[in-house]
Amino acid sequence: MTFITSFISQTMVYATVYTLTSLGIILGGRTGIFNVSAEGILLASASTGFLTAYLTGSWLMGFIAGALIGTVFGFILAFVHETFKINQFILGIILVIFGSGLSDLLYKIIIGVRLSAPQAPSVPSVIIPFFSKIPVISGILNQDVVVYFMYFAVLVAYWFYYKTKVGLETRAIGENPKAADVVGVNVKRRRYLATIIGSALIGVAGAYLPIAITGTYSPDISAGRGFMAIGIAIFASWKPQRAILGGFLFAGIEVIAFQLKLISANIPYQFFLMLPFISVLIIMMIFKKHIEFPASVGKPYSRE
Amino acid sequence: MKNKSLVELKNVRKVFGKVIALDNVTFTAEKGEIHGLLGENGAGKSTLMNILYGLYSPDKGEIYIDGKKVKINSPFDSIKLGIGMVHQISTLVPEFNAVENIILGTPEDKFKLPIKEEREKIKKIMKELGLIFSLDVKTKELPAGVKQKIEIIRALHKGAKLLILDEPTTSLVESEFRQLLKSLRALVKKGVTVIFITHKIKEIMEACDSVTVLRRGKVQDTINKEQMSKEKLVKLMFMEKDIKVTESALPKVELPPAKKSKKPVCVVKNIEVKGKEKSKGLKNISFEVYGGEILGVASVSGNGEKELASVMINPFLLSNGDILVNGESIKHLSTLSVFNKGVAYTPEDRIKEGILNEGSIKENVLLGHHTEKRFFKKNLFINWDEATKAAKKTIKDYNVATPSEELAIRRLSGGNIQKVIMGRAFVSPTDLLITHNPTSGLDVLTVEFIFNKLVETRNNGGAVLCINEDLDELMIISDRIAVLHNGELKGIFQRSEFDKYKIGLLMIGG
Repeated sequence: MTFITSFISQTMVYATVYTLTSLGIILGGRTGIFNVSAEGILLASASTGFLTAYLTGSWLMGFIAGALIGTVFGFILAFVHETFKINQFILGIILVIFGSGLSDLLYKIIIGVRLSAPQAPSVPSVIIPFFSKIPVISGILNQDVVVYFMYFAVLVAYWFYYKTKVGLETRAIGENPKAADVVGVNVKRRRYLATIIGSALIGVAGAYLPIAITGTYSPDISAGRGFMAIGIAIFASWKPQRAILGGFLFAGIEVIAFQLKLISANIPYQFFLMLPFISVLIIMMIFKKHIEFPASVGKPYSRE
Repeated sequence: MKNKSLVELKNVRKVFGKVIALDNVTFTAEKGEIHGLLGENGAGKSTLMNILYGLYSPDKGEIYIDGKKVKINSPFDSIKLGIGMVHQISTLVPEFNAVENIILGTPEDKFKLPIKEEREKIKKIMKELGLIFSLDVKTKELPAGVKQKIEIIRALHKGAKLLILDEPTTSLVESEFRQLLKSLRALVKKGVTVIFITHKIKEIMEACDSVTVLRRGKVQDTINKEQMSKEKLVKLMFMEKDIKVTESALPKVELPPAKKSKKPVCVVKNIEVKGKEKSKGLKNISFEVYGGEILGVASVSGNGEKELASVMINPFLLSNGDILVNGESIKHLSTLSVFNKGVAYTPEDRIKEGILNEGSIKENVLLGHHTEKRFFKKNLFINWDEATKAAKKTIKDYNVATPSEELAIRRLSGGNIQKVIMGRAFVSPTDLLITHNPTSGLDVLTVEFIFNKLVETRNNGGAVLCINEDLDELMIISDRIAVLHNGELKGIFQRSEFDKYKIGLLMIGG
């Protein structure tokens, strides 16, 4: 019973990282901007988020710093793409390398090398009386506030895309920017907004890694999850309600691989590190036929 | 005279790169009329209206609506001023249904989605105009005619008092054009003003109360219905050129008696092809094409003509039967080998299937000839000198308006792209030319040019198979016309037997 409770509990923590990151990618993608730089944003915001939380002693400041770093990355992505029409994928890859370098650099400048790793202030959990004591259910409910923020973000995104006209227009941009343009929607502004808000969400996910999961920063802390989140966004056909399913699925696989690593001594641990990536490949192959893609993803738009 | 003009554009100038698209253009449309905007391809019609709609910003000039000077920076501004535009290429979101497409962009209630209420409003507008279509199907599944209706409703739903239609008839058949005209008349009665962009004189004569003729970015004249005549409009459109036109305002070409070859160049024997999607394919088709003749194939779109065009150059599509070229079967040949047998092909969709958009004119001329000996050095390298020569010759022989053969082909107008494709067909000796809708969307001048090239090929002993959905055109240039309906060959007419009514009836299965 405790095993199941801890499995669920851990899965939800990792699902938060996956879901927030892929939701951020989806926001940009729905307006045609494919945010390939998620991995870089995760790393940069993990580092700055951790440092801010550590130095100020406030977990909240850490998340705000992470979101701000995401905003900066999102702005760079949108600005360089919209102004110079540079290929989004190349731009994204450059930002990944930039973010990865920046994260280690900042950590080394501010913290340097220490024998014991500095610890970030912990994130408060939401404790619901009575229910929090029942096994299994407690694994679901005893979570920190960021997990609940993730649920909230998915709900808001769903409501936005399918219950509001702005959302309808935003989806229209992803399918056919010209169609949105000729009915008076400001395509450029929407692309900026979506990319920046999306990148800020990825920034929150990045700050979550050191502050809530490991307690401290270590190099390559995101371990490819930013790229996996791209897979989730695609697997989810760019729909928020499916991204959360994908987030749980991938997080579950990762936690299982982690548990297996602990109990089987004979198999090299790299094999288990590889499992999530192989599963993504297999899942993508299975769901290939059900995957939809906004038609304008990755393409620049200009009127003339 | 009382001034009741709804729209006035004054001294508009627009330059794209080095090309002057509009030069000091002044344009006025009166309230409650259908105002035509006529000109050949590239005359600046669409550019002028895109400026009015706010998609392009003019380099110079002023816009007045209801006598008031206005500034239009984007469609957001123009929609607020009561301007709606239906573009030549569909601007609907293919994944959305009609309702979702129509309500897109209306300013009020940004954080609500009142589908039900809007649906009722849309239905009311549809009823008033007599336009009926399904509101629940994704628009990507709808034919071009219906998409256009949705775009018209979309403009009206946003409160358009001025409706701009950019080449609305490009993908419409005759009956749809009639229906469109009816709806436009109903709109005008309600006080809506319509600007109708076209390059077809016939449509201006039938649809418009007055017309402004543009030529190379300049206004030639604005005349009203009483002053309109075919001859006058042709003269305004082309100025120095003197073109003879037929009843249907198409260019006249002479078809002198030509020496028909004794043996057919191409024999099609009992071929069967499986159809794609809704088409029934081809069933047991046989015909011959002789040297020195143009065989026209008439069919309503979707009755097997696409399969016929494809199978002639891609014989792997054959499920039965055989095709002979110069007496040899091409049944087991690849498309490239078919080309090397002296067959040339110009596809229906010249942008998607005819060219490499980003390639230069030179590279596009080389396409399909790229394995021929003279374009190959040591069987390995492309002989660019020869390719340049061939491209230069094509540009010269086919009057392609371009500064250089190195220009990206996508920068040419539709007519010039078609000329390059036609020219490419004759880079090497051609015995059989298969051409599918070679003149669709082109102006009279280019149509005349293309017609003359086809006839020239025929007069020199070449065989031409011309698949064309425009029966008027086929009757001008064909020696014989074969009629396809539902994938079956309904009959072949000699030139002396041509009868628009009879052939038209067969085309729709009567």
